[in-house]
Amino acid sequence: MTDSEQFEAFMKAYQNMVFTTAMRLLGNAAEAEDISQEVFLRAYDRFESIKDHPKVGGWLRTVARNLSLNHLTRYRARWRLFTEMRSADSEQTPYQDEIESKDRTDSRAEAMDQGGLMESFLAELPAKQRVPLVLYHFDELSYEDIARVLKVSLGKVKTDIRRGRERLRERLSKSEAARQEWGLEMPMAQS
Amino acid sequence: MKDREGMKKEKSNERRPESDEIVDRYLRALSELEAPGSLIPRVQAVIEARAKRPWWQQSYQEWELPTRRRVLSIVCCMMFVLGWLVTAIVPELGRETFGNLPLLTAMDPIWQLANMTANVVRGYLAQLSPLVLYGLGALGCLGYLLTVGAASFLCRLVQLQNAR
Repeated sequence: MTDSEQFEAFMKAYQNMVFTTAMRLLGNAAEAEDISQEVFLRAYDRFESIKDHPKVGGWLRTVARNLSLNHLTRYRARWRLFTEMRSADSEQTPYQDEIESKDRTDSRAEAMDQGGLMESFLAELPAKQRVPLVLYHFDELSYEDIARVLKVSLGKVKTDIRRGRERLRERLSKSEAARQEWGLEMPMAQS
Repeated sequence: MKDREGMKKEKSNERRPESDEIVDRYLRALSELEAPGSLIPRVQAVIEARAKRPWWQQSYQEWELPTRRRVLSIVCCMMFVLGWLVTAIVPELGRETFGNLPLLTAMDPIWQLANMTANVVRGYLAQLSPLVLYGLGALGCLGYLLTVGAASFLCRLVQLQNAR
């Protein structure tokens, strides 16, 4: 097997994991694909040393997470600059919501095609709620670690995760489609 | 970062409302998303494009060994010349730092010539008013910035042509 074939097999093995990590953090398929590409290019540069390493999956996941968080930080900073340059007297939508609304339709449509209603709800969360929630559930980071990674206070992490959960629960309970898809009663109905 | 076992233990010890558990269950049930089919061809295209770049557009680690050796030799020569020039302009520094090196002792005639040149330059500089000196400094800075700007512009131009 040549080097390029080996690397192709490597990408095939890990592409879903890398893409999923980026997609859940960013909530946007196009950006997640860009980040995944960058992750694999970095892996290519170190392929000789990492290809047989037992923890290569964890390394890829960490790189995908860090690049996604960097991307979010840069994107937020740019967006904040634009919104602040606009007239201050008009009522502004918070920047996270503007970012969300820009991509909401696409993400929702793609997610619905895959049958992942929950993924769609997750992607629709504001970034400040989605990111800590994803880090907590999928990367299994503690609240303290999330606060350190995101450079925010512990209280803010807890509040954002709680609000994210609440919003997801609301969306789930309102969605008849979700009930049919999952075949489960909503928590509201149970109590 | 805490280890995963510790994390799980901590998570299981947390008291959370039932509604949170339900949401958590939904989240845990999510499987991996399927990566778009265009991802692998995109990565391969970038790798191919990178491989086709000329050596001077690649990073040092990607250069071939003979090229690395040549560049390293040139850089060493340049550093030697620079050090020699500095020590010629500031002789005290030169004597203290390099005075005992046999190679430099053998180069004494050249050293003296450089000292004479440096003395002439220093003499001229001493005659100039501070305003002219500041002006020369500003001109130097401007020249440097223009050079950097022109280099960036040319670099972008080459990148654009390559992209096409």
